[in-house]
Amino acid sequence: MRPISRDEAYTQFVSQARPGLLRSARLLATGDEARAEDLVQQVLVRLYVRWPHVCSADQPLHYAHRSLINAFIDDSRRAHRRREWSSQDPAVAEVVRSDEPADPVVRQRVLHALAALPPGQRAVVVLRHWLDWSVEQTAHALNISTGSVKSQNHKALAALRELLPELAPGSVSASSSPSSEGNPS
Amino acid sequence: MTDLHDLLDVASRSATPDRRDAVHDFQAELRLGRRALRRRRITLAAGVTAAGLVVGGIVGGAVVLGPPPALSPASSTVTGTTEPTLSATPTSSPSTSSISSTPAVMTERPAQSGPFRFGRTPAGWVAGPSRPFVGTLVPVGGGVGSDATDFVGKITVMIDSRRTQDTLSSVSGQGFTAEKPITVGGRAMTMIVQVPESARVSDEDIDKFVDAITVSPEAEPAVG
Repeated sequence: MRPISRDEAYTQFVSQARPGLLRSARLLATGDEARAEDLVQQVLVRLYVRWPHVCSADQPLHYAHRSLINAFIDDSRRAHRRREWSSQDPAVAEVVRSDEPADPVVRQRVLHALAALPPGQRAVVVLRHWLDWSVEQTAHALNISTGSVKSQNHKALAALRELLPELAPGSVSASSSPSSEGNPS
Repeated sequence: MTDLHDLLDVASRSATPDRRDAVHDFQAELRLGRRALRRRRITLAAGVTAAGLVVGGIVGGAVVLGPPPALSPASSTVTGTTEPTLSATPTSSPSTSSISSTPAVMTERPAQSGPFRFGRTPAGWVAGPSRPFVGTLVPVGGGVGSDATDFVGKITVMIDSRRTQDTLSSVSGQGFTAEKPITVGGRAMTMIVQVPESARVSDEDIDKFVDAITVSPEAEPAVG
């Protein structure tokens, strides 16, 4: 049987991984579709270069998401390369008509709330509450301590609750976050 | 009460339901990936070549210059011994055409070359000459120089005193080079492994091969 080539194996993997990466990237980029696609493409190129390591990773998808988070953090730090948006906030700029279904309205509000978070807190929210990673996995991905993850998560949830009233206190921690995480101590 | 995960689920969807998520042509990523890989190979190859020149220069400057000993394929098959004689000028491989047909089956047979231990070895390769700063594997059929500082046609492992964060690997025009962070005698360093094309080690086996290499504290950095 012919062994599968690097390109074939890579294409198979990224075909499965890209949709999930793109959804995470949209949250990180708070609705800036172009930036989200740029981030994902950057990650996919990195995965190609490091393909032997992707293959040998225990969880290749985790490896890919870690690369995405790193790319996002790096991109956020490049102040001199800050994007020129047509408005200050793409989440705010998105036009939503009142006769559309509820989802676009909710989407805009959530993206607006995420845009209010600093990049580090946003990354914690995505990893902990979207990807359901543990505190330890999140800390490892962001190269910070577990205490910092809990602290940033606490601050992020407090900010989100202010902007998204439907997130009643307790509902977040009860559903996707350990209750102890609400207290960074 | 709303679950944050549900809200993120809504927010992570595309604003326009044109199903771009499901259908994507990866040709652009493949093209960019190949280009990035090519750049990395060139950079790594240049770095390792420079490292080899530095090692050669250090060793060459420390010994009396003289003509390199004549080599024959039979006499150049060295197994697990340290070569006492140094060559001032690197000897070229007499012939690599016969080596290139060696099957690249990775075996669990270990080999010790000075302070460097190869936990796995390609079939047909045995421990070669070593120095405190370099360990080698050589083809059992010979065809390579008996000097530890002559890297042509050999699998070599060295350590660099600088630190590295990630394991890097690349394929250069003449073989494979990998860099891996290691700790030697409590110090964080970088292990550099070069595998010539003639070893015909597959991409899948390269990582296992590199991971199985261990370095004892007697090893000395070749670079840095």
